[in-house]
Amino acid sequence: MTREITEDLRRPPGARRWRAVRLARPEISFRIELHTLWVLLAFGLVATVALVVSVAVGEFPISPAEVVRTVVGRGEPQHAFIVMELRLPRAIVAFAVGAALGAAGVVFQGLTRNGLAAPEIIGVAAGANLAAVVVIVILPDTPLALLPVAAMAGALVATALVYRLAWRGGTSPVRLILVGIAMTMIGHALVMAVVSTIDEVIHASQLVIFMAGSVYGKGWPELTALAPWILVLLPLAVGWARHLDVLRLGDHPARGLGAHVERERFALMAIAAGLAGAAVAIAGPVGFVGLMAPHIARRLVGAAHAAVLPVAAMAGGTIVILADALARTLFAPVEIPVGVMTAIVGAPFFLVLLFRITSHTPGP
Amino acid sequence: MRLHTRDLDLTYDRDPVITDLTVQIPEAQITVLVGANASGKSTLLRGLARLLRPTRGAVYLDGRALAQMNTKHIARTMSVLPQGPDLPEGVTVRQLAANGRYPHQGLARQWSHHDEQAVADAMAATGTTELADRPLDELSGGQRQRAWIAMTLAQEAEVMLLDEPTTFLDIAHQIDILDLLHELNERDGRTIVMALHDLNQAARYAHRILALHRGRVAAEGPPNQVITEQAVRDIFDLDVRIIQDPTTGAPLCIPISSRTGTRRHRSGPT
Repeated sequence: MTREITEDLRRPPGARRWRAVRLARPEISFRIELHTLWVLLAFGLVATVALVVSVAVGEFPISPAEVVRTVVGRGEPQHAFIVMELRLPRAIVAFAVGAALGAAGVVFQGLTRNGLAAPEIIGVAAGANLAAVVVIVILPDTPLALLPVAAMAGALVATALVYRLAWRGGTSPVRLILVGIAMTMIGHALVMAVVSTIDEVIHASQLVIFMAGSVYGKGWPELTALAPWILVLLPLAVGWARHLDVLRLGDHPARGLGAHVERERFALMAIAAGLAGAAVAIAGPVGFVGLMAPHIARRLVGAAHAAVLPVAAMAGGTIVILADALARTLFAPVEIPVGVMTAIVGAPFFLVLLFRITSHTPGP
Repeated sequence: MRLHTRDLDLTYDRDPVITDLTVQIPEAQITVLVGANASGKSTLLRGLARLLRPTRGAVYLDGRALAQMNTKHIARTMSVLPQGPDLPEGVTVRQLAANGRYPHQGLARQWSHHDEQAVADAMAATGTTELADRPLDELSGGQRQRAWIAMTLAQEAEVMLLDEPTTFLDIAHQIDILDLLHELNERDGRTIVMALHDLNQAARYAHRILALHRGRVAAEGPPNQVITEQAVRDIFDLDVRIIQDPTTGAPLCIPISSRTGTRRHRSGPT
């Protein structure tokens, strides 16, 4: 077995350093930009700090150092429950939800070649939400682990619908958004309809999750239901990134390069719908994370999807942790849903993108 | 001959565009498709490139029908540059060129020595090495077109199909691109098939011209046999004088006037 790492010596000034890692047998080779590794490492650090801060703040503040001590089992006993059972699992759920939405956003934006596309914008999250709500209301005894599956099915149906109505044939970016907004409104209306059929008064926080997206009260069981999907689907998306790189060029160039365009597009759509569905099943439609995270990631590491995907997952996760920490503390003891926080930041972001995209493409 | 069609029908939006076409593309030569708008040259190119499925007949590559072949396998033998491809945002020249390696790569084999060499060679051949890390949206139309050609070159396919590779380029960049293709043919013996609008460029660069008229081959052969005053009148409905290009000896069309167009314009009120 020979192993080598080469570095590009013909690198023009200003270009990024990269390394190729190659094995002769079995023949394995890939290239990685050092810059991407650094960004990922830095984001890992930022996310960890955000996590610790998020666990530290709240109605009963705990110092960050004490948070770390508690996590490694050397803290004060009275902190153990708050940290280990309430705040830490909730923060990790927040991270997982954001990571899934961020990665799903990258795939949708790549497939539609539309920087405005995101699961929450094109109606995919609404479809997932509707499916989850229907299952929760009609079959309240459904095990938590099956909820993501139902939401994924809803996300897939919504993806297929929006694909048929707006995206096939390369229509204008704005049309996709308009169809998505219409689907989101229909989804919301149906969720309201389903919720209003229940006789008993359901808990306000439950309703908030359905309508706005929230990680209130989420803990280890929710994380156990969500994490496996992310651990499977995110690496799958990274593994398929080269297909996404090629599909982004447009159908004809991709076909010319030998891509099975329909097959690969469907698989990537299913991966993205799965990621979005799993996240929405647990936290409801947390808005704009899948829109913002890919833009942040591309700004940091460029356009290669194998690099953008993990960075966007990190960015999405960090956004939701921070948004949730703010949502819990800003108007304490009143807690606002994390989806409201992400919307406050995300909606202006969306508008700026919308103006930028529509200013150099013809309208709908 | 590596590429040929037999009894080919191609339909676009339910309208038959190419009907009953049997042509052979000579190996290691430059074949240029000419014809008026809607003559079917773009459609034929798409059919040759398997971007459009034939409604009848077939396109054969090395004796096998394209529809029966693995599409990645085809991509290793035949590359295609569609007309006016979109602009993927933020993608650098190097990334675009590296996409040309797609048909050679797999999940484990993503960046071999050979991939690296092929991309470097493709960028060198198209003069885009200095632009490697610039995003496409910062480049001029000519530079972008070169980057796209670098992608098809990195594919290392011996047959190259190009649909109007010079559209939207100024005259200097047009000649640049055509010279590059000419060189690729001369040096590596690549088979090149392209659609061109400009008859004089077609005559200058083609070994062989395929003139299409309403979805059928109107004339076929070396430029000096195909580009005649009669043929241009039949195919383009245009009166021309043909003289010899003083630099290359190729036939050169000088338009006189359209039978219905220019004269009326001149005599009409302004």
